[in-house]
Amino acid sequence: MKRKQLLSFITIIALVLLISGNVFAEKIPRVYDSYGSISAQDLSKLNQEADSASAAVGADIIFCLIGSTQGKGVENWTASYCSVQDFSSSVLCLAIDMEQNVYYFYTSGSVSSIIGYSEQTALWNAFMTGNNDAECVSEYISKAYEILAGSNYGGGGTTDHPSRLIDEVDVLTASEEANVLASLDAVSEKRRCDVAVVLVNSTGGRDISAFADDYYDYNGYGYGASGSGIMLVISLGDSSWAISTAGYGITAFNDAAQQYLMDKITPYLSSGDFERGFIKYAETCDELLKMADEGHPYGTNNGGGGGDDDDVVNPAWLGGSLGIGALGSAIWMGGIKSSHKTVSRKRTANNYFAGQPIVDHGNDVFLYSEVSRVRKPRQDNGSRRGHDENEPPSTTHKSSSGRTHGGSQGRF
Amino acid sequence: MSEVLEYKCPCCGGAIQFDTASQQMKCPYCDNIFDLSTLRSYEEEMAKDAGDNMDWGRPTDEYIDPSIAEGMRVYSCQSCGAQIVSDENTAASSCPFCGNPVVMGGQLSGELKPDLVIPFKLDKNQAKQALLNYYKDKKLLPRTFTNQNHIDEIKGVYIPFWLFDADANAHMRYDASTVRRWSDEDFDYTETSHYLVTRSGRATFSNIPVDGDTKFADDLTESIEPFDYSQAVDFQTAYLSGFFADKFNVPAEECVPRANQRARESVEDFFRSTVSGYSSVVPANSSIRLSNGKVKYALLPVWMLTTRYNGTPYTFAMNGQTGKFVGNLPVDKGLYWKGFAIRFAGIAAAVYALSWLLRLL
Repeated sequence: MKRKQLLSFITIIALVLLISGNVFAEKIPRVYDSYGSISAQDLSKLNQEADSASAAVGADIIFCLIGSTQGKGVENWTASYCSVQDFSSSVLCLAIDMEQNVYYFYTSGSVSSIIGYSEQTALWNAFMTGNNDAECVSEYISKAYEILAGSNYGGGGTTDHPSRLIDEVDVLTASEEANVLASLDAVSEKRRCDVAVVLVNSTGGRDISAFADDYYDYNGYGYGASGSGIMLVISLGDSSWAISTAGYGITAFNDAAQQYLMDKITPYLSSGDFERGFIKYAETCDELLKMADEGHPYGTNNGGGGGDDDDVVNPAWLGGSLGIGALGSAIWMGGIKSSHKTVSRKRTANNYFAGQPIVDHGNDVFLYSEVSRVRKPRQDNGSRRGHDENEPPSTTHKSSSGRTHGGSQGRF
Repeated sequence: MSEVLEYKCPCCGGAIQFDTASQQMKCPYCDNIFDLSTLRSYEEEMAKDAGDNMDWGRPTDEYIDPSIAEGMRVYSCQSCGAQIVSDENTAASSCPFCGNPVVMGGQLSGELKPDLVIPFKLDKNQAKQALLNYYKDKKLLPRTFTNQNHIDEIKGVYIPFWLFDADANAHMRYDASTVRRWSDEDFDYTETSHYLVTRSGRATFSNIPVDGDTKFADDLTESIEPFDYSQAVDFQTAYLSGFFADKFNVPAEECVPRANQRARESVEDFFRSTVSGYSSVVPANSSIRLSNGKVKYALLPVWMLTTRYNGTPYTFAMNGQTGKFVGNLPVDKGLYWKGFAIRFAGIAAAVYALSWLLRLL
């Protein structure tokens, strides 16, 4: 009896120790500092903040300040930290390698589809607003929560389509934003081509054209199956701008059209009148899209070339002249001959309307659209023709996503 | 014998005719002018006179000369007593012996009485002048053509028409599409957007004319449209005096499809014109309902001349109210090819010279 009681007691103690061992094992921090610049007290508060935010959004918001990756590199180190440790499958992690002075964003699970380049930029910008390391981390956590919780970040837009006006710098008031967004949305829906504007303070050192392409690609811009659109990115920090076009936007906003567009709005940007500048941008895009829809993109040149040799009697021109002469004469004589025939049946009774006909009801309903494509023939040097020789030129390139974009950049 | 009406001048007893210039009855002999109501009263009084009964054994009304073909009728001229043979539809003519105008009243009375008539506004001289003007600018007209015209044979004819009124309610449906094209380095793209377009509405038609006489080609009678029906008046046989006229031989029911066809084309054209902004528009369904249909029987004035050239008949017609002149003319092939050659040489030389000049620049 005593032996059994002793065994039971030992078993209970062992279980208690096992459980308490797990309970009192070191908690996995979402805010990790091996560099030592954040105090223990601040670290504790930041972890509480990160825990709360993570619980609220259903994903892990992590920050790592790394003293040394011990040769692994910040990417591998971060991947190991976020994968090996007991975090959920949806992770957002900002890791700073203080040894190499680089930062790195790691995402996994559903977070990967939410955090694109622009979100990363927004997160880094938020981090940099802090006055000290602890505040920086706190700002980062707040911004991460804001983005993942789907709150006012982005200034509107539907769940299916990103907002066509992104003002990260808050230069526009709420009413100005509403006016500009209404103009952009109206043109986009009417012309079935996204017309968007993004205002940032800086591109984080990246080339602004590449920034614009990636912002367009990774945030789901582009109208319909063709993904057509134009995006104007303005970096206020260095007064630079870039245009990125895709799909039908490449044709409608060719090189000349982009020059025309920026000539229209640059004065407004230079004077800081962004509301009027962006409304002018929307109006000019509407004008350029209308021209393209009518088959005459801006800069269409109908002029022909001259003769291809200096001979006085050029067989090609002679043949052409004879052909034109025969056709012109046939048309002329046909007109004269037609005056000899004035008897014909009337097809309609238009002379017998009593009053004006009335349209009581009219409805135009969009059903669907379909996009087809034909591969261009290769030239002898293996390259493809960049564009139809009869269309104005539209310089294109491939973005980091592999998609073809048109575009240009400059300063104001 | 059918009833024959002749209107005599109260002054000199001559055969009085409708004058287009004054729009009243005028005696061509003494130039007196009478309005229709006065003349009607005079005729009514005159009709009460009983003439001598000098029966010389003239043929009865029932007598039918077997030599006269079916579809023909015989009338007796009130002026000279000659027998006038005309087809069964003739309502007004002239005596071939004494030239007096005659109106066969029985052809245009009772159920056959027209609802309205547009009197002639233009006289024979104006019609002849219009014909000469018509020839004037025709560069390819054979020179001998005008020499062979019997221009004095131009005659004024009242042609029977059916005039159709109706209200039309329409519902139209179209398949429309827009096309956009663009290119990148590798592909040429084509985006086609499809739309369903509908239009509904109404229209009212008034006086759509359809020729009710097979003697006159429909394309000829439609070519001289339109007539101004605001100048139409209630029918009186006096208006026909001095002119030729026919009653209808195509009933209104047989003319309905033609009126319907023209009304339909007009409605479809109108609603199609309200669909714009698409690369292509294809009518998918057309529903047109007519209601409040009315038919009127009218006599409309036309000056006509038929001539022959190289065995081919050519008919000219002029709207007796508006003066619109139509008619197909022959084309002299020699003149055509001569004109073609001159113009061909001129245009070819001008184009080549221009191209040479542009290359120099």
